[in-house]
Amino acid sequence: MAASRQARRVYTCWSRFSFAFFVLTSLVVGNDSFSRQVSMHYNPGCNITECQSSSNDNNSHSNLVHVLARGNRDSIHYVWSTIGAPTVLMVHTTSKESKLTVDWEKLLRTTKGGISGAITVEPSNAVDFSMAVIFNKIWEYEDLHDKSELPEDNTGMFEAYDLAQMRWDDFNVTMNATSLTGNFTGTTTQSDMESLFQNGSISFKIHAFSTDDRSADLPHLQYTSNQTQFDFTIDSVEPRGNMSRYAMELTFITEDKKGMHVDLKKLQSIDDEYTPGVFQLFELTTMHSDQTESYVQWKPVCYTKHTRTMGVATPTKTYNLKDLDTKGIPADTIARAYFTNMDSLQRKALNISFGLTGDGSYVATNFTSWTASVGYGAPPSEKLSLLIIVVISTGLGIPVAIIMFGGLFMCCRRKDSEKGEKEKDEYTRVNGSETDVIN
Amino acid sequence: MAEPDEKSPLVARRSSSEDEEELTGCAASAACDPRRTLHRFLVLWLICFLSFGSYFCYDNPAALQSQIKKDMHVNTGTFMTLYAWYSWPNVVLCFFGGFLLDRVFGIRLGTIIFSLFVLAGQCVFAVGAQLNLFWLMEAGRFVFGIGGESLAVAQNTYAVTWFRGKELNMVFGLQLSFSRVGSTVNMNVMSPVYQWISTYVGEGYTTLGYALWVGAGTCLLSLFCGLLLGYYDKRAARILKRDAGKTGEVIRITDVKDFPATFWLITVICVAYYVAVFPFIGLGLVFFEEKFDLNPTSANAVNSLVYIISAGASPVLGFIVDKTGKNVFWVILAILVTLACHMMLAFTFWNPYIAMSIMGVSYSLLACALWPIVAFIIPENQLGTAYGFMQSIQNLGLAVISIVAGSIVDKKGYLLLEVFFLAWLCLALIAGVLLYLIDAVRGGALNMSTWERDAQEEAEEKAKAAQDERVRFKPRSAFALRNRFYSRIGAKLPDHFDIHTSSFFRRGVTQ
Repeated sequence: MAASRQARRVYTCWSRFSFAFFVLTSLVVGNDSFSRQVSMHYNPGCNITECQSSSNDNNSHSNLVHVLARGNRDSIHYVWSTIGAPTVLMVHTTSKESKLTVDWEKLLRTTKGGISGAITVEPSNAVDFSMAVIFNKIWEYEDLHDKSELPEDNTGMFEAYDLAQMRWDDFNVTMNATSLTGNFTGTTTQSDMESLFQNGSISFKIHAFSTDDRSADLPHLQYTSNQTQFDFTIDSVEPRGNMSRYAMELTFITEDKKGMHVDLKKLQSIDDEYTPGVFQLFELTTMHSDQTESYVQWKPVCYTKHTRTMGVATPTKTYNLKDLDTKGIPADTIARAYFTNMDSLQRKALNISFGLTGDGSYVATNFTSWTASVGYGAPPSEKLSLLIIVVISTGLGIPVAIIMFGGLFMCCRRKDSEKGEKEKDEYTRVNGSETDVIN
Repeated sequence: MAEPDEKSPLVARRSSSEDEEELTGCAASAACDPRRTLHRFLVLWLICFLSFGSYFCYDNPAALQSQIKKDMHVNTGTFMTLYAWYSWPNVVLCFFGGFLLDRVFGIRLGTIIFSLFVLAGQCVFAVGAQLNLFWLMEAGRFVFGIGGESLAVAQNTYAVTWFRGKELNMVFGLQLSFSRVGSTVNMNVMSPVYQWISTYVGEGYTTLGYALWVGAGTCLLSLFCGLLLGYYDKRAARILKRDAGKTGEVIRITDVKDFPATFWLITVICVAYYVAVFPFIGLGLVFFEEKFDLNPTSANAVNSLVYIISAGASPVLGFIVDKTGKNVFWVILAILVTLACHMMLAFTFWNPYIAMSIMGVSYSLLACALWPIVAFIIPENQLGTAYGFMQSIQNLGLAVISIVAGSIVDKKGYLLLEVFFLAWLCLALIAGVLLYLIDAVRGGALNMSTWERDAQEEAEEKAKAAQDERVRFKPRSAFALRNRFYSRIGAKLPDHFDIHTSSFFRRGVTQ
């Protein structure tokens, strides 16, 4: 087991190298990636009162954001919403002109369970892949022995924050349709726990892109126009323990076609150039036979201060992917408005905990922020940058050259001196003794 | 000498022992006779303990980090100034320390003066803690720094005077391991000492002050060693007539620029190699945790491997270098092996225990093979300056590169940091190869094996003896003999044939 892991690691390392050369050649040949036209809309087509103001029972805004990425031959719909548990729904269609329709009456006015079919993408025969990620719960546990491990049993666990029971601020205020960003910020409405959010909040900052590059902030994840990135932040929430740590539960659902499987991959890299001190990349992918249909990608690192630097970075821990039954899917999420039959879906869940032994836990700064991206197709792979390749080849090439020339020089010199000695031996003195000179 | 031939002296050279003073009583025993190995090794203990105090106290702040921060109410940044006040002045100070050692004080007095500085610095440091004055503690560290690094230079110079051509490499190795022992003992002792004192006095800055006085005690021990060394060195110089060979030349500060190219190459190796090891260890913890998935405890263990291994391995490796010679070869080997270790860490996921253990061995090898080379190149009256200069440059390199390395990690990550260190090691390698080439062109004095070196010394000894003979029985030239003959028979000689002025004619002085 260990040996095979080792072998895989070495393989990964060398494959990076070969990849580096591939990068070099592709730089010469040219890049074949294309960009999509990406737009962002808040509560599209909604004219009922629930959309206009926070008129429902607990002053929560019904936020639904549609990010549409239109390509030449296809389009990707992202629907981010805090109606119910925060959820991102991704639908890929083979049609350029596909449309998202939201039946707002049905979505907001029917009681639980009746929302099925409130969100549709037309034409339905063009829909070729859809999935959803639901941010279900936030766990908080007392890490008395600083083991930074989510407890197996429930010892030390506090009552979880149910993200479906949050009061969400108006997304529209923070939305910037040009830079394609916006914030979902919320506080809990759970009894006894509201006071913990007096100055604090939980937020998802989403960011879509119309180009391919790397994000400006740590952990500098790669982005493409196929994806949306989000920063999940727990800011100034009053911790309930002296060594409180948080963890998040992610639920992942996707349609269950034949030959489709969901995998959690941990990729090792020798290169931490873009995220100093982080050598791993996690990918939760949906594979259809050999093709990757969708991904959630993140680096196992979170930041304990608002300004992200390496000094405030602390690792996250990713736990095993588990199967869920239909009851495990939150009752209140827009995923239930799109997917009509929960039984015909692949349902997975996993936990991610924030922080590592010795970092002082959440209590140290009362801030934790973590970034991931959700996207269609194959995830952007990490490559060695040109800088590294150039530095390595000059840094190691010059000395090798010098040593080789030095060795050559020595060899020549030695031969010369041997020859010289031979000649000296052959030389016979004309006059053996010193001659006296009398001036 | 079986058959006396023309080249061998007719009268045997006076054995050098004849004009030595007779030692009597205890002084004649092996332990006290400076000509004997046993005495030298007793002196070696004094040399090692000479720096024990300064190494012990250097890391006092690290051992009591949490206590100092709590008792003096300072944050980590301010706490780190205790080290900055030691290191930065030493970028310049130990060069002058070495120079003063050569020019003004001489090694014996110099050692005692620097030991006094160390002691005084630690006392001020302790008083600062006791009076709850952090600035006084910083001042104490500054005074301590004036003495500390220069004392290390003095220690090197002592090692060379006593062990040149004998066990010098091993002695350098032993010094290295003693420095590690000093700081390890400190790390393990200071915190319990603080706890123990606090049971009587209660926690607070007063306790901190008392605990630091323990450090001052070790400095006192070192001062005592310095005094003893001074006495024994003076005695040995008298008995062995060490001063007889001295030319009486005094070093000027400008002589530094006339140091040979080989010295500069050694300095380059020294800086380029050390910056690839110590700043790396300073940043290693997170690297081992993250890249190799180690928990903080084992990451810490891996990170300190180099220190632990060098403490054990360096005397042994020094001994091997002593027995084989070929210092330049060992230096190049050590650089190559370290290069391989860094590549392992940078480009593979192999267990870091392997790379760090090997790096520990190669570091020890370099340390005990490199520093003694200087003693072959630089005349004895300039050694203090040379070692001081090297140490200054090294301090400068370490200080600057530590900062640069930190910002590389922050901005570009560990892979680029490793590449950065690989580049430095390559520079060291280039310098090593150049050193070998230059030395080979000049006859390979530095890279001689021990037996070649012995053979050469023997040959030199013989040549010197032969020259002595020539001086005593100065052969007359044919010219002189002929003229002597002419003057005997009363022939008139031309003016320029005058036996007393002829030598001038030949040299063209009067022509």
